[in-house]
Amino acid sequence: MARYNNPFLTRFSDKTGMKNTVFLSMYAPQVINTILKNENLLSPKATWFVGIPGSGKSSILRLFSIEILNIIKKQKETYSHLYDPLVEAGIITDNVIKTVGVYVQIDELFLESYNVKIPGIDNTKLFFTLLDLRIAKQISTILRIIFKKREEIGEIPELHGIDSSKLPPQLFAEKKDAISFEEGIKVQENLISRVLTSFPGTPIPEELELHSRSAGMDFIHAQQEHHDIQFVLMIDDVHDLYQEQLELLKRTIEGRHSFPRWVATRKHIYPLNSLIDGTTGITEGREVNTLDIDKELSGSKLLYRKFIKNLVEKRLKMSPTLSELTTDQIEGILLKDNIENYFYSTNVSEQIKEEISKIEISHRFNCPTFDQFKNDSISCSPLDLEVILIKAHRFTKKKQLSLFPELVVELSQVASKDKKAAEMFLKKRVGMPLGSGFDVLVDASNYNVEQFLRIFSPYIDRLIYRVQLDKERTIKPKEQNSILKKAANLYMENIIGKILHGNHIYRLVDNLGRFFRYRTYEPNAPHAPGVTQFAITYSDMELIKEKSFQCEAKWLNELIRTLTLAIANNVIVPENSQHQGAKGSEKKYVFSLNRLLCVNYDLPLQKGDFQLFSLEFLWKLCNENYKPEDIRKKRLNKQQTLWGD
Amino acid sequence: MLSNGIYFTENFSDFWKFRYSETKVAPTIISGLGFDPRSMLSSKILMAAGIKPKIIPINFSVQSTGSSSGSIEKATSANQNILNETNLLTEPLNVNMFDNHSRPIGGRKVIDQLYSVRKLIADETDLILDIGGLPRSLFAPLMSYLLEMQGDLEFKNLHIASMPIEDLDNSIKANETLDPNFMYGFDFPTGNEKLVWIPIIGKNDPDRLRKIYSKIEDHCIEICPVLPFRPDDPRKVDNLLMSLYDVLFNEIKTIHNNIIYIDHRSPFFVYREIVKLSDYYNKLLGDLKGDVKVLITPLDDKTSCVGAVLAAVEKKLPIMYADTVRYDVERDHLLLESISSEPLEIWVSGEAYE
Repeated sequence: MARYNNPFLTRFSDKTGMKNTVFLSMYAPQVINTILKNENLLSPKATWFVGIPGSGKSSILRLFSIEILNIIKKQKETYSHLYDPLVEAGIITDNVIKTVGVYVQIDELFLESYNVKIPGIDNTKLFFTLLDLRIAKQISTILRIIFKKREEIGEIPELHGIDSSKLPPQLFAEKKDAISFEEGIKVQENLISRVLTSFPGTPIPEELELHSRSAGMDFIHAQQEHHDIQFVLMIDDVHDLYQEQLELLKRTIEGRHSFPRWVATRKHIYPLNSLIDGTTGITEGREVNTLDIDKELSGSKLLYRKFIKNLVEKRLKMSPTLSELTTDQIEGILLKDNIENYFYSTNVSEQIKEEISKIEISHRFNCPTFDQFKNDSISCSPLDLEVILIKAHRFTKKKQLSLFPELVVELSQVASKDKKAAEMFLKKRVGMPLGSGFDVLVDASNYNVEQFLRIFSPYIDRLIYRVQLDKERTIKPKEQNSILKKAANLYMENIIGKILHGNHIYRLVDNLGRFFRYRTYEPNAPHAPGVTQFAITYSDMELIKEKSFQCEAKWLNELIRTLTLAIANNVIVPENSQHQGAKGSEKKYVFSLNRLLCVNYDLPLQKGDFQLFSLEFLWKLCNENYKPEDIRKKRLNKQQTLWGD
Repeated sequence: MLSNGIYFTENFSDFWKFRYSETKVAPTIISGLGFDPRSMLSSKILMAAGIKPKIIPINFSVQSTGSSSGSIEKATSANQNILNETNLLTEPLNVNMFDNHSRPIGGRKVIDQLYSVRKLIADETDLILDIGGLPRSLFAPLMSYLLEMQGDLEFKNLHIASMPIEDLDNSIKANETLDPNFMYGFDFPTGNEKLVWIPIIGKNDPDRLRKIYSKIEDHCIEICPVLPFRPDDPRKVDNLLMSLYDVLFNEIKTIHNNIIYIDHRSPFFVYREIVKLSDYYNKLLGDLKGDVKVLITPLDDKTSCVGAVLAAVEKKLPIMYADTVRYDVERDHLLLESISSEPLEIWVSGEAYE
């Protein structure tokens, strides 16, 4: 079997281990350019990078690691798009690295330091010791890379001890050369590993020295004083920590220090109300600020599109088969559809005319606009007829009709959302995909890079084979649609189904998706151009805020957890709160479905209308399959729920 | 029974009849207590052979969905009925598999629980760990604990009872898979080591492979997938390889020559191969790359997992696994069907090896 290389299968996931050069050659600079404009980042403050999985938190931190900065510095011509912003931000000056990240990843050793129960061992001390050892090891690596040339001639960099007034642990008390310092760290790490994996009843190793507070911060400060380098402490994946550990870390990080601290976390550690309001529960202030990575991207569609185009360009270069292609060519390969192509094979106008006539007869009204077109097959477009059909359906719903009812449609003044609905109806009628082309993929990725890669990689698969077999390269709209639908289906089955509370989230979005489709394609298009959102009332939201994470009603607790995880995993997206209906009506909190789900249920990719739900019924939707008709009737029910709380 | 210096037989009841006639002491069984019909199978077979075993049951919490006919409840209650007929040494040890945030804590908890009742197994002649109804995130740490601390716990022989039933295994589908973790009870790398990853692959589960690889990618220098093949159906392993082709060769860049095939029938073949690989890579790469550690991921059935655990304990190797929060039971009628075959008897430590 021939081997091929699809670089879009390599995800920029949280723990990306791709080679540094590969990482760099795929790195699109737009986000980093935007982020570095934030002055707070390089000042001695704590910054929380928050985002959903795949938003690129780890990739941002990784860029500031010594290994990556060193490559950028050495190959500044190749990576000028990264080198220049780094120089501008003062991270590299006169071709010397002046600011560098001390990268610490939270892994299961930290978690085990919480779970281990050994008489005589304080878990907090274990946590701090582990953190300090990781920081110290990184700093030693950084110094050895920066001063590599000196080490080559026998001048091994030195790590300075912490001021004795701060009662440092033995390991950090004296000045040592990097080699012997690293040996000391290795010994302590092995001892910690032994303790964490030890079975009950195993004696504690006597040589293990535990730290009663984090000495790592003082250690960084001590190195900054003696080496002309600004360190940035970067702690990744803190969402994995236990709440108590997180609090400890938060207190340590958010205290006053002489260097910037960056902490990356997924959003699900925050209560639902914080996720919805777009805040993180972190006390913003002089020393602390928050950077929502998702918002950095979703704040500007233009920026996101540019970012994606750049990413595609760079990844194409990684594929031997497609390296000659540009993003513009890719856009050309993904053919866009024209609805008129479908009219030749169907007598679509006649079909619609027939439907309008039937309604006219059965509901005994007259439509002069339609009468003009009845026998005229040239001046009237199928789209106009579809608009008239929608209006005719709406007309039949009117409660009080005049004696000689008449429907007049001013085609030049039809609202754009009605036109969009008519276009969707028409596409469905002629069997045309709702969307095609590169922009549809960008929209369907829901401002998430990893989701874009997931959607786009099968197109690249197809393209690689076609290029290799010297076949026609263009991908027709129907083929695009089937690839996209398959990706949407896989997203439902493989991604949503497998996240925590996946069965609840899956059921909820499936119920909602089917219901939204039902409402979107009602013949009178009551929510033109379609329904893609659901909402809860302000008072229900208040209830959630009050109960978040401390709720005694089991069903509500479970619903809150389900919604939290759905939002944290980007399955549903909170929108700004809205008013609906009469003036003074209650405010609502609105949530959208992930755009890829809209593909799965033939919903418009742009934001549509919303439907209000009671919390009780939302929880029911998480647990049972409902017919759309039943959802319509029951969606505001507030009756007793599964556990009867 | 004795073959190439290892004790392993498919005739579970014959073995125990013979053993009981020699020792005159009924074995103690540590057994899971869930809906899996294999949970209490070894106890049932021993009782049918006239041996009343002593039982330490483990009650663990997993979510299961998919049964609308109440089969899960019926299967659980059938296991409870068998338990009531045995010589119960203690109330079931209750083990939470996950904490409030669904982090896996079962391995540590089950060992803490067993430690608290350790006197019950002190001086026992034969201890059987029946893994039929225990998830691997529980039985692997338990097995490691019993092997490592056998001297302190003062029991004499450790046996494993394992009952692979492919149909049943395939009908219990893992869902809501957690992020991978190093398994408690085994070595934890400190982050300084380079890893040679040995996934033992018996199922088409690309997501789990992907997840684990993405976690170790930074440190992984070599991947050697082990594919247990069935001599009675050699095509099966080929089909598995084809279905995992994308993830193995395009995503995680496995080298074709690194694939190792192992006879599926005995856990000791898996054990032997991993031990050989560990020695080989330590010798070959140790000087070049610094500390090298073989990392095992047991994704085949539980029997080959036993071999992996034996190797991990002997060579102090880490095991990485992505745990499952929820199981979907398809074809749930299988839970209520009687099992005609017998578990494998695997004698892993004690007199046989002295």
